Amino acid sequence: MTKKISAGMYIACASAVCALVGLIAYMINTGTAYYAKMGVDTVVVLCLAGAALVGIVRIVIGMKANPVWADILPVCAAVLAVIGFMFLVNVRVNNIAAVMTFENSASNMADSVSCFIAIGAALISMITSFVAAFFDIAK
Amino acid sequence: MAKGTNSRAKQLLWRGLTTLTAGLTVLALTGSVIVNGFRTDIDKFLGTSSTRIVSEEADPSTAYGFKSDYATTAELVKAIADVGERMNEEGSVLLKNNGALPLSASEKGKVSLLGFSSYHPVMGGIMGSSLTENVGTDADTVDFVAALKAKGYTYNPTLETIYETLRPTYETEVASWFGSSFYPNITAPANSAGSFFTSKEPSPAALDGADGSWRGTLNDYNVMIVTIARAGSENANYTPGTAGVDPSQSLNQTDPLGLSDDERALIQAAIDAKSANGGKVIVLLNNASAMEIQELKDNDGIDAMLQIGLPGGYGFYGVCDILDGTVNPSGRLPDVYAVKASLSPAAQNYGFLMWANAQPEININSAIVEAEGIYTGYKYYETRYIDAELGQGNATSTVGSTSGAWSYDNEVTYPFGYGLSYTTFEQTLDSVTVDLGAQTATAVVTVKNTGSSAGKDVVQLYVSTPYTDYDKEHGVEKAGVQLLDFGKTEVIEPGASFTTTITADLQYMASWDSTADNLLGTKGCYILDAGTYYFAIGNAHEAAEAVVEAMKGNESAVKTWELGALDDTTFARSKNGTAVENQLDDMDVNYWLPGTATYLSRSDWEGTFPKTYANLTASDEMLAVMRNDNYEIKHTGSSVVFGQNNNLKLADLKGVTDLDDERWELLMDQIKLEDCMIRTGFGGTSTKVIESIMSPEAVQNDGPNGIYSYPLAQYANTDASTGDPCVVDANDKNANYRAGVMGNETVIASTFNKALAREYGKVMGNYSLWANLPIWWGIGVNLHRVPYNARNHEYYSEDSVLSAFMGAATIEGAQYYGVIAAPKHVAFNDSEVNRTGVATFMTEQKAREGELRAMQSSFEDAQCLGAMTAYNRDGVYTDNAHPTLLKNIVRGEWGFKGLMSEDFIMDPSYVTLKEAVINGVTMSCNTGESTMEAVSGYYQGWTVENVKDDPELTAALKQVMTWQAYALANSNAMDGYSSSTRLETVRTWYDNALTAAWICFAVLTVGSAFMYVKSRKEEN
Repeated sequence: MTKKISAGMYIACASAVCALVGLIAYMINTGTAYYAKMGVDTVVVLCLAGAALVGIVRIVIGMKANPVWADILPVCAAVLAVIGFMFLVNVRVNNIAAVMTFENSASNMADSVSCFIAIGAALISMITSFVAAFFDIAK
Repeated sequence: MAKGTNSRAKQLLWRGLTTLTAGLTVLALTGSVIVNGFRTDIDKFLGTSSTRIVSEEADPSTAYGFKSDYATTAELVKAIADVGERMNEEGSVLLKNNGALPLSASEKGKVSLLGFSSYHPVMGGIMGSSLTENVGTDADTVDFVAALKAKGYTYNPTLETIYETLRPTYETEVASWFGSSFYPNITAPANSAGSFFTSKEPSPAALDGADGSWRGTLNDYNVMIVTIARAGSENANYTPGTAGVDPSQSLNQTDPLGLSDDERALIQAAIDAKSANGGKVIVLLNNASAMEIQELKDNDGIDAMLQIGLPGGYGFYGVCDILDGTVNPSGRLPDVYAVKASLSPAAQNYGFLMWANAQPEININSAIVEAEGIYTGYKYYETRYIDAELGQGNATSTVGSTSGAWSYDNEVTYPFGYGLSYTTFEQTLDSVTVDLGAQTATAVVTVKNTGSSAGKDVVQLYVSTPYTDYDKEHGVEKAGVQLLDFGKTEVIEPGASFTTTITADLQYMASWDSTADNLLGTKGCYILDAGTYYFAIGNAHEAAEAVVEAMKGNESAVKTWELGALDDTTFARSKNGTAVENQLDDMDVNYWLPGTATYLSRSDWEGTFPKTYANLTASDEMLAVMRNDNYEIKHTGSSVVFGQNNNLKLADLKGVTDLDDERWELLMDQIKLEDCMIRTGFGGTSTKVIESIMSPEAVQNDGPNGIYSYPLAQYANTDASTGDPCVVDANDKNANYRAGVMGNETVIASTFNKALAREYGKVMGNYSLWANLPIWWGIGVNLHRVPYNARNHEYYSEDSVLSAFMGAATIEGAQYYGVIAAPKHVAFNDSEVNRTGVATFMTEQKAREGELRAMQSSFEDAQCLGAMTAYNRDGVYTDNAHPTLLKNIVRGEWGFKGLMSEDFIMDPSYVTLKEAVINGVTMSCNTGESTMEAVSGYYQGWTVENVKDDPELTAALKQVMTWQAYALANSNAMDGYSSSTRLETVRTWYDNALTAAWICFAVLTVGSAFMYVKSRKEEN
């Protein structure tokens, strides 16, 4: 029997989706002309992907049952989201500073949009992962 | 049920808190790690320090070797203000005056300021050399209206109110991710294809709309000053012609550097008012890029016109002093003012000229073929003038002409070196003595003040070298006249004479011949052609006229010198004895793509006038080089010594200028390979401490308008017990003073006064001492190839000799106080368009007689201790890794021994680190944590394992760090250091905060987790 979903479901979903959006935006960003040469940071990729994956697993499990061990999942998701966000900022802050100043151009600004989306999404994922931990997925 | 619900609620609470605190623990922990990579910048931002030097028993008299001229910061900043004021007194150029200037005492009370730029002038670059406003200090900066008030002028209050009301109409909105910024002054167009200039000048009708009474107020305030401005900015660009003008405006503006109808109408309104009120119309040009102002010159309604440049924080005091005659103007134009700049040969290849096979992702974007050769600026106009007058070289053909047959008078509004005074001078070239052995030409010039007021004059010594059949056969070009040297007189009283002697360096009239045999048995050498050399004075056009007259038989205005045979030996060696040869063959596009470019030759102006080289296709060979992986690391084993313990510190070599001193080798044997690799890779914003040799952190600063990166007190020594004579109290009134206050470099160049340039260097050197800011990227010696480069405000002039000597004088003045005053950008940063990657092609003659000559004196004469390379490519090699420019010319021929940084390149592949190191670059501008792990993660293959067995690269790493240490040892960065100095790491408040945070959160995590487990057990 399917349980009734709670606010935790929406928040956890938002967190997972944001982590995924952050990851996709980051990957798009690494393919833009300006950022391509910076390479792909595996920590960012693994952590954001991990945050999204753990979040999804938590949702799937939480919809059907609520095993004790599953309570570790929101902690894992949050920690991964934090690391992903921090490392993303770390690998991009110099470039953002450059694009805002010495390397400012329309194309570089355009290339940076995905970077900002990635950082913003990762930040939201991190915050919502904290909040989601206070709720169950289903009532 | 309720019990179960409560229990689960507790579990969720503790799970949530566990998650939150665990997340915050990780946040604080990763933050602690990440801040190490940005520690310098964080410290700068927060005003903290992560290290401190400790010197035991240091004798202050030796520990602080450089002495300031000033006892207090008040004296210091007032001295800076004084130089800033005098810079515009001598660097403002009076272009036109029918006697309207100077103003009388009564006229000072009747000023009307028209044009929004009168109230919001461009005082520095929008970006780069931006004005640092200082308020509440002993030398507050002033704009035009503040300077007028301070100097006792009274101006029309109605107009001031109107312009304030209209402010929203002329503000420029600059959007960013973080919202919009509004600039009340005019700005430069963005640096992107399709960007354009938008005229913001409120029309007279707009003024009427705000308050129609303004026209009547002009009767009471009938000294009408109209300010017309064009901004300067790094990373910005004016596009030539109508393509560079806002298409949505119909203001009859044919060029961004020309006038709009709104500007014309404003001036005309003033002229119309003048006929009724009997006043005066004075135009101020507030610009760094030469404008198209023929119509203003021709307009008799304009009584006077003064070019004021971008005056910085104190320059308007100087402008006011000129307006009322307190000082007599003596500035001269550092650039030719063309009628239509887009017709110049250089302008034919400027802007977004993309490769057909561009690969922007690896910075293969555009290519500029500088097909004009040596004929930039006045060297084009005056040479073609001479040829037109002498009927040679198809000079009067229509190519490059505004209309019909080419005629100088139709093409040039004001020549290079032009400028008026309130008095008149008569200059006589008494003699010129050429001493080939000493490599000098000594000119004696008598200057007589034939007018009625005292003033200074500028003596410009030009030379016209023979253009021979040999030159035509061998592709050697000769400017009809070229500036050889210059000098400025003292104030000469009416009727008095002043005799000045100029001893010019003959190497600046030698020509590079890429086909000449040389001492090395290869090709390429400086030559002096056989024939007659004409020396003349005046501005560039007056000199050209004198040369024409001489060539027609009347030599009264010139001095001549005959050379019997071609000389290819006198300048076959540079000043340090290095034999010269071709080094830049690969900068010629024809080297890679034979037959592509035709370079302009005065032998046939029509047939060789540049066409536009757009959509060039880079060959596979060129693309291979442009991928920036041109040095293959070898693994043959290296015997280079690192990591020895010889008990030396850099302080032991303080002031040791002889690199052959054996202690240098012993000291550098101590350095670790890891240190070399980290510091070359992460050299940005400051050189960091290297403990193995105990070299100091030295903070780097922009820019050409003064050391502006940090406030005076941020890095200043606040500890009076150290014995430092330059201690700044935290409560010092000038603690927040920043020195980005000088007029822009075109103003400095316009003074034609080496002594004043030296004074500028002196006050910046003193500022460096007080502020503990030892590295200054402050000497912009790139040339004004075209006026469309919006960054021209950071460079002196279109002329290499004027740029060279003003730059060198500033370095000499500054370096006396221990600041590493660095010329930039070495070399060929001729455009901001696609500057990271643009492939710049030119002949070696143009390279050597153009920009390299503009910076040569900084190295050879001023012995600068630092330099910065450029963003662009030289040919297809990145500038910072050109295989011969930096190593063979700068380090070789010019004998440069100092530190050399890349520009602000944030792309690790474009940094081309291993190639840059091989060529003598000592550091990139990137920042990061001082660990091998961090630097290896940033630069692919930059690992100790990969590098340690390469004998060439390891030797180069040690060599560049030696040069860097040498520069620091001879700078004020070593102030306070002694043999006993050691470094102590300081935990900043943010380190403590982060540590406290993660410990607290970790404890809370454990606690929350415990409570969670407990609640689970309770449930069970």
